[in-house]
Amino acid sequence: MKNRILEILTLVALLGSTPIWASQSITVFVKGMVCDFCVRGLTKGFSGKASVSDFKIELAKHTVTLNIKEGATLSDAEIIQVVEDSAMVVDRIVR
Amino acid sequence: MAKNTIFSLIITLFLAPSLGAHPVSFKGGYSFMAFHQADMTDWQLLYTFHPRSAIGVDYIKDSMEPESRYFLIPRLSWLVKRWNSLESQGNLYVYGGVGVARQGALTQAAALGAVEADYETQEVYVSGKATQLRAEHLNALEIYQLRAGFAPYVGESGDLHAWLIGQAQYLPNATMESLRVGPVLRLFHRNVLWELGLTTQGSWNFNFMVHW
Repeated sequence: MKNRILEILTLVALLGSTPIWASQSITVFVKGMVCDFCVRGLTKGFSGKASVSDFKIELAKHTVTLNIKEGATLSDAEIIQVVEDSAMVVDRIVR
Repeated sequence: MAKNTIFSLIITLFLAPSLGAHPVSFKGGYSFMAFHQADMTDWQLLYTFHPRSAIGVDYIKDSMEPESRYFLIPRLSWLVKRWNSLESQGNLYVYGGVGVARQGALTQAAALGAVEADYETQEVYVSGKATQLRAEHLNALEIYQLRAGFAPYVGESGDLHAWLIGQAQYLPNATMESLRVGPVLRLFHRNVLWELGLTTQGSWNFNFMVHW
């Protein structure tokens, strides 16, 4: 019984420390991103998205990690459009 | 003469692009590329209006003949096919246009046509390119180029990237040397690329490229 109470208290504490409006991180795996010229198009595209607070591009991991502003959203279709404007392809999106 | 050469080199190294590299960049992107070797200068300004198409203008000064020839060619570049994987990218481009050529007092219509293919990962790079410039009363300018290179280290985005490339060019109508073989050092930082090459015959070439 004591353990059960402890579990519930831990769960409440965890939920309390993570507000539902917390910013979201999205990882996009991109095919064809092999150099900084490719990065340039993505940088321009994601910089123009009002919902993106900041992002990090890692060539070695083939990823773009997007941090989304609190309360904002960025759809898969918008992400795919930015990548395809640089003639590259989205492999997968992890939210 | 020397002053003009130095000025041309400075412009090429610090302001300008390359003969065909990345004929299409990203939608809404601009590219400025300059290519300079002992007997030829090529400057290109391109705007990519579609992920697979760009328009622009090509200015070429060809000094292979006793009297230099000048070409000004509005052009269209088309990315015919792109192969994307997580580790690599391959491209097939065609581009061309119609403009004017001038040699001495003679000015006439001229046409540019080219096909280019490349494949690159973060560690290796190969490319091939065939370019032809033709005008009715001028000798054709033909350039065939093959390249293969590797990166001695793999950098992350924003790092200074270095490439060591072997290059072979065949210019059948050149008076200096029709076959030009030699190494090229490429330095690449963010959206700016420089190349410095040397041929076995002892001539130099410089390339510069920027995307924005």
